Amino acid sequence: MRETLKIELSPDEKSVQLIGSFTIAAIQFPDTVDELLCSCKDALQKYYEHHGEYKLIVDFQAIAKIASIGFSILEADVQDFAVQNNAQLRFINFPTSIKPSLETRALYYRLSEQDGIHFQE
Amino acid sequence: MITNPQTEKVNMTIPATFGYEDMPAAVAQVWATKMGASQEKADKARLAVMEICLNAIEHGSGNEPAKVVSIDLFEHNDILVIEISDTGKGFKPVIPKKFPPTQPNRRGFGLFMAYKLVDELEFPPYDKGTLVRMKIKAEKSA
Repeated sequence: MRETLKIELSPDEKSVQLIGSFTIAAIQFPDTVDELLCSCKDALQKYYEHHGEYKLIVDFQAIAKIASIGFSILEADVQDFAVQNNAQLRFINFPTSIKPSLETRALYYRLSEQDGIHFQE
Repeated sequence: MITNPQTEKVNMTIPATFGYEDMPAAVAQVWATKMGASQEKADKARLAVMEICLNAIEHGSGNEPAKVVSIDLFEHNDILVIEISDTGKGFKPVIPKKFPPTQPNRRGFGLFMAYKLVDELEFPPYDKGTLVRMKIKAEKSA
């Protein structure tokens, strides 16, 4: 059963959109992470050009499934990228069927609002 | 296996290859909801089943679609019991009690996640591979 993950910039290029499945079946490590961080860099730069502040937005609008490797990449690679760039990190549009509470998300990601990571429905 | 579960049982077998783990995960989510669990708790059941099935597929079966992963679901004393087994070589499970350190390949997080998502997670003796039993209480709180 084939699963895929597409990583692309939003039409306004200010956020990174994840489309498909964020699972072991669709992730090639480390190539997928490299591609994700490259898109993060582009989105962050474009956001700064428009708003004068560094904010990284990762948009899960068409993600069907997230598994532990996906959570791990978010908490390790994406968070580290944001920290290294002094950027606020915001995750938006969690899929309805995978919408755990803020507490649970913090568990998954080892992150919390106190870390400057913001979750938005 | 727990004997005489007193209620109806659902048994599924899925090909031991990535992608099929969604199906038992969805069944677990629906069953937990029907038992009166909160949406969050049902979502946790879904994620936990998905993680354990992924382990059974990858580590227990080598992602070989000719093999199968078996999933039994039933209620026992108002608890949803989910048993997931593979036909691999088995392993000595060690459930990390704290966050495992991030691995260079970003792996090694699934078992801990499942442990945190359900009320009980155990590895009963099983001589045909690996058997994982998870229990989810019907209480509405997460």
